[in-house]
Amino acid sequence: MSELWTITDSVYTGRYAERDKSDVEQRIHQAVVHQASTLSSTFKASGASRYRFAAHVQEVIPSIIEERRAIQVITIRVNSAIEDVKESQRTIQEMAQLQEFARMQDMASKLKDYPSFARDFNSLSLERVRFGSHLGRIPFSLLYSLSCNMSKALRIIVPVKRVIDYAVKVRVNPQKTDVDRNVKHSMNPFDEIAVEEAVRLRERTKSVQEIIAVSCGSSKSQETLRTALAMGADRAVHVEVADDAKLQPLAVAKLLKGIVEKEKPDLVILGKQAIDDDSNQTGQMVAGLLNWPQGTFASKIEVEEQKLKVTREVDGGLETISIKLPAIVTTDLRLNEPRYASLPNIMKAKKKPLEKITPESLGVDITPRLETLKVEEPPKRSGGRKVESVDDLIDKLKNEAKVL
Amino acid sequence: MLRQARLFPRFSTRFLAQQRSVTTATYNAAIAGLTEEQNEFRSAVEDFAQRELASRANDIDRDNAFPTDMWKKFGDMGLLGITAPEKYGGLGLGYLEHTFVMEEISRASGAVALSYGAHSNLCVNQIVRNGNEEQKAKYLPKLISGDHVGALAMSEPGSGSDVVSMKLRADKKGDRYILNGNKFWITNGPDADVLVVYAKTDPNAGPRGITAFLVEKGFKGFSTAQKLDKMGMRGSNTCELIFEDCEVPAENVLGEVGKGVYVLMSGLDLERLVLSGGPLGLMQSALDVVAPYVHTRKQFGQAIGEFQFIQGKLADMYTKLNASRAYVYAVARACDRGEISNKDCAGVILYSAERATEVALDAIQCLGGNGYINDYPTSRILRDAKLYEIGAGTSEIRRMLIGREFNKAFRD
Repeated sequence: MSELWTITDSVYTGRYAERDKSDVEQRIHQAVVHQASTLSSTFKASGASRYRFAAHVQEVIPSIIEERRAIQVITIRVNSAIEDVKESQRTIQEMAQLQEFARMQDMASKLKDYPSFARDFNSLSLERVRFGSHLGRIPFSLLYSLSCNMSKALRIIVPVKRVIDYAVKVRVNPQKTDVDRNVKHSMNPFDEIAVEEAVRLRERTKSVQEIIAVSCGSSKSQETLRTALAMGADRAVHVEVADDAKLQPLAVAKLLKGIVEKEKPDLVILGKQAIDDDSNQTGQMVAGLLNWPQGTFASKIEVEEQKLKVTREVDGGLETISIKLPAIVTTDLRLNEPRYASLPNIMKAKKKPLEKITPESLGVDITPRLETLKVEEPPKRSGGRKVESVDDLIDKLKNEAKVL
Repeated sequence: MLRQARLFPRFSTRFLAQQRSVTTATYNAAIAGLTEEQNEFRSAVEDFAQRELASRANDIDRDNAFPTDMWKKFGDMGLLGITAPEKYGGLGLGYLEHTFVMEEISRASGAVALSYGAHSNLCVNQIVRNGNEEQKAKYLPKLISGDHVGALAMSEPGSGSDVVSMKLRADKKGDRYILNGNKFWITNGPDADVLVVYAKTDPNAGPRGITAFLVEKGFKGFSTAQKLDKMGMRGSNTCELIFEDCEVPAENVLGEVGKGVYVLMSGLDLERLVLSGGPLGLMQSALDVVAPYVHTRKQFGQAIGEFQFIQGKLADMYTKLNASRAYVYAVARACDRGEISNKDCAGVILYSAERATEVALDAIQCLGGNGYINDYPTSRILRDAKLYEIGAGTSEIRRMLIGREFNKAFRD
């Protein structure tokens, strides 16, 4: 976000500077145009749409500086924007502070960080675009391109966990410290539902910019990430830990928080629980740590502007809530039926980017907070018995089963 | 507990439908020499086939009904054009991958796998190998997407192993050929939209008088006769094709006029190789049923799998499967390198087909009384397995082929 604003900021600041010091104008112009053209050539190499954007920037900036009379109007519009769009206030205040030429140049130099710039560009949310429109005529073509391509742009993070396959009969190891993990693994089925929902949101609303799959775990978690990529995620982030490291929900939630702060998504959608430890904690913890709204146990999700309508499965039936983005959603079983990763998509997934990071790089201590004392198999079911009467049943429940 | 049961209906029913526990999978990817990528590919097909097909195999067999809806699912999954170029919707992969898919579908349903093999190898791959650009562009996309079903027609009532003696006539008349005669035992015949058909354009030229044609279901004069009631492979529909002054445009000649026998013979090598995945899948399926069963079934207070006779059967089944698999994969890898040996293409299906029948018989024996009733899949596996000793050349013809290769090499 911030780098994108840097452009707009730079532009805007440019106008201020121009009003106040016309001699600075040329230098701003040159600096911005220089940055934009550097950007443009870099973007040219990295993809057409980004290049198009860069071209817009380049094309827009000189015209901005020429439009001297618009400045007054813009100042008024910025002020009304402050009232209208609360989310944008901070940014606008920042802009107000950005009048000094030196600062502006400094910000402009940050444009060199184009990869994160590109991400942030994608992440532009509606308010910000609406705010942008308050800026009036400044970035005409820029705004046009934003409103065409980015108006309801959602960026979604889908955390996925590698677990023992649902069909495997789980066995406790002889030391009774853990279950036998040398068996078939696959993606947690609830996470599969989460990936599917993200992909369906894209198909349904055409407003999803990017789906990022994230997995925390050993190197083998990459298999699970590849499945998510084959199902339709655009890129993957793997938080790699040692093979024998134990990751508990709090640690995972902190790692996810770190990634969310880095990637700045509008939505995090994940399984309500993993079928191995059945904790049902991670989603809620992430929401708590980020102080984001959450819609847990979702059986239906609808996007409404910058809100989500989430139908939740609660004990009494269905509860429908409306939450503001950015938000956390955890998926329940009936949300959808996940698709198969088709063979062509599995092959294409190999070419999608998979970034590896470490817990340390996110500054997270993953040391387990809970200690496992013992793992035991549930007692074998013993055969049932028929009873003669209700009294007989009550007697047996009281005296034999001792449950009454 | 209740809540859990309510929340996992899909997983539990899927699990029950499969009737197999994957506690210890009997497919050993390391022994089969699969790379991580190859195993990922194979697992994806396994997962799909087990979830979408395995639970229906019994019904398909009982009703002798081809599951038409599966074709689109196969297309969506990308299974129908493994060896076809990407520009027609295929994957552009090799025969090893094609064999994996054949094997995993066969593991779920032998009959559907046979139809799959006839479609994806006999029809699609023959068009890929011999078709011209127009023919490929016209026929491949729909065959690969699953909108169309494909078949290949070679055998005739009086011309089985001695295939070159075929009688189907094709007479040139203007810009078209007029086909007269019939074909028999044609897999996918009742369902096929596009068929590769071999016919005699010059009855006096022997093998050099054979030409391959692409025939569409709707061509005038083409019809199908009775669907055959088979012992096994039920649901993979087989029938007779009837050509009565059937008009085929000249541009539908596949390959060159009079060169059909090359199309046929070279296609047969790869057909035998890819179809070998069929017996492999059936053996794997037998093991999938038997291994958990003999550890659940108790007699004399002991799981029967702990008795030496049953241990011996398991060991035989497992080694036969893995020896067959090693041979099939080795030949597939060689073919993918361009080293096609017709001796070994005949060898892999000869060997694996006969092992599959043996393994299926062992599976029935291990299940005892249960093995003999149709609630269990073992009798279906046996009936399906037997086909592979007959279809795509009988075991006898395959032995003859191999023997002849030795004769050629060592004859003075």
